[in-house]
Amino acid sequence: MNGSPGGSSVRRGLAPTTPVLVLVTVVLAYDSRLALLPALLLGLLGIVAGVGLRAAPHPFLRETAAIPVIVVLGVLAAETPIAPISELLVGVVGVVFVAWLVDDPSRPAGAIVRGAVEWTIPGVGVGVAWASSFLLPSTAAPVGVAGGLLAAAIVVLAYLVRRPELFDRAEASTI
Amino acid sequence: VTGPPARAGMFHWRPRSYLLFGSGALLLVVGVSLANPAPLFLALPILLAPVAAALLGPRGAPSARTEWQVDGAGPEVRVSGAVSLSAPTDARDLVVQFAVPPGLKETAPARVGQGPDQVRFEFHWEAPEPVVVPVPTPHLTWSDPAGLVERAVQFDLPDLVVERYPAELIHIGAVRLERTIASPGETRSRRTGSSGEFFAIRDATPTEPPRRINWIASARTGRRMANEFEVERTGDVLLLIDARPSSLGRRVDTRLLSLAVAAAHGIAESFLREKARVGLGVYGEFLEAVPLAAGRTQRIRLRNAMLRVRLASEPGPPERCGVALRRYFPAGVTTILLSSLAEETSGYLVAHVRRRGFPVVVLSPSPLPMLAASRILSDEDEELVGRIARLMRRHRLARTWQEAPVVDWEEYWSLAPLVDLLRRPRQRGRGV
Repeated sequence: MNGSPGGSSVRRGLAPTTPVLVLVTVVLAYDSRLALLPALLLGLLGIVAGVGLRAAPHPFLRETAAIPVIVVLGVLAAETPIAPISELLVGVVGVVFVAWLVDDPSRPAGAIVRGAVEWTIPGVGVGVAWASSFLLPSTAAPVGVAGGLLAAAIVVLAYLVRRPELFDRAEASTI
Repeated sequence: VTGPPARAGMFHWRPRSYLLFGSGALLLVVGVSLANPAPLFLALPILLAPVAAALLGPRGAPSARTEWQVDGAGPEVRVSGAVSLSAPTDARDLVVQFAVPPGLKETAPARVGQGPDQVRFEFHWEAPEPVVVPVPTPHLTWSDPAGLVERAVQFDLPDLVVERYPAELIHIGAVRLERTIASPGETRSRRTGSSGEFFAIRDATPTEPPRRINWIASARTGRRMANEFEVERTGDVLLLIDARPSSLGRRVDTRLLSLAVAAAHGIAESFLREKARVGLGVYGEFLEAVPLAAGRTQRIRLRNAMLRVRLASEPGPPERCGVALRRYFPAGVTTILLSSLAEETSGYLVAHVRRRGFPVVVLSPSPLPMLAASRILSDEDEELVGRIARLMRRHRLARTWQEAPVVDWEEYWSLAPLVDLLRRPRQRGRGV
C-alpha cells in the first residue's frame, strides 16, 4: 500500500504531456527515413505500450514504462536524416520525453511545474548543442567532437553515480 | 519509532535513473557508430535529466513531523495521521508506503491526500479475530516528480499498537483475586465496594443492606445514608501463554497464539487498571517471564513482552514449565493458562503447573472455527471430519477438566464464560 491516489487505470496512465509526446513522435516518424506507415505504427505502439505500463498496478511494471518509448524514439532517431531541423526535432522529442516522465499521473497534480528543473535543464542543453551544431557544418568531424564530449560527459556521470553523497550537504556542527 | 538518521548516502539513484543513463550511453554509441548526430541529440536530455533531478530536491535528509492514531471499535480499525514537511521541500513529492499489519485485513482503499506541506492518510482495516499487533512504521521517502532520485526522510513517530480483544474483558479486573503477599491493602484501589477501608458516605440506594446504612448520618441528614468502602486489591494474577507448536501446523498455531496474546493483553489491562499485580509467562521451549508487578510501567513491560511472543520451533517438556514458574512466581497465584490444548501434552502442562502450587484456570482458544473455514473436502466428508474433531476436542477438554476448570473459547469475540468462571471463586479456587 502506498500513497498513490486512486482512479481508473486509463486515467492513471495518461498525462497532459502524453498528447504532446504523441504529436512530436508522429512528426519524428514523418521526418525519419523509414516508410511512413511502419514508422507511425512503431511510434504509436511504443507510446501506447509506455502508457499501458504506466497504468499497470504493479510498481515494477510502472518503473519499466519508459523502456518501450526510449526504444522506439531511439530507432526513429537513428533513422533521422542529418539536417539541422531534424536534429533539433530529435532534441525536442528527447525533452518532451523527459517532461512526460516528470508528468507522472500516479503522483499528485502539478508535477510538471514542480519538476520544471528536470526538463528545462535538458532543454537548455539541447538548445546549446543544437545551436553549436547549426553554426558548424554537419560533417564527420563535428560528430566525432560531439561524440568525444558526450563520452566525457558519461565518464563524469559514471563518477556521479558512484558518489551519490556528492549531492548531500552535511549539516553544520556549530551555529 | 525514529526514522533513519541523517548520514551520508541518504541520496539514492532510483532504477529509472540507471535506465536513462544506460539508454543515453547506448544512444551515444549508436550515434557515433552511424555517424549520425540525431541519436546524440536524443541522448543529451536523457543523460541530463537524472542530474537535474539530483539538483532539484533538498540537499540533505528532510525532516518531517508526523502524527498518527488508531480509532474504531471491535473489529473495525481506522488508522489516520499526517506527515508535515517544512518549506522548501514540497510534501507532494513525498512517497508514503504502508504495510497492513499481520492479522488485519484492508476493507477499503487507503485515502491519501497530498498538499504542498502536508500528507494526510487514513486506512480502514478489519480485525477478523482479537489481535494485538503493532502498526508497522511507514516508509517515507522524498522522490523527484520523475521518480529518478530519492532521499530518506527523518521523522519521529510514536509506537502505535492495534489492541482488539473481547469487550467482556474490560470488566474482568473486578474479580477478586487471591492474595499472595504478606501485607494486603498496601496497594490501594480506585474501586469502592462493601468491604475494606472506610472511604465516604453517600445516599443509600433502596436495596442497600442494613449493615451498610450509617444510622447516625441518616439521623442527622434526615435521609438514609450508606457507608462506602475502598476495596483492597492486592490480588495477583499470572497469565501463562502456551507458545509451543502443535500438530495443527504453523499457520493455525500462529493464529491461535495471536488470539491467546490478545486475550492475555485484555486480561492484563483490566487487572492492572484495578491495581492488581499481573505477571506473564510465555512457555515455548523455555519459560520467558515478566515477574508480578502493578502500575503503568508494568503495563508497558507486559505489552512489549506480548508483542515479542512468537511460536517456538521446539516444544519444551511440561515439567520444565512447572519448575521454571516457581523461580519467578510465588505459589498460590491465580494462573490463567492460555493454551489451545491441541496436543495431549498440553493437559500434562496443566497438571504440572497445578502440582507446583498454582491454581489454574485454562482459557483454550478453539482451533475448530479455523479448521472449519478451510474446506478442502466434500460437504459430507467435511461434516464427518468436523464431528470427529469436535468429539476429540470435547474428550480432551473433559480430561483437562479433571485437573482445572477449562473455558472453551470458540466464539472469538466473546469471553463471557471466562468472566463468569472467574467470578465464582469456588470453581476457580480449586485446591492445588
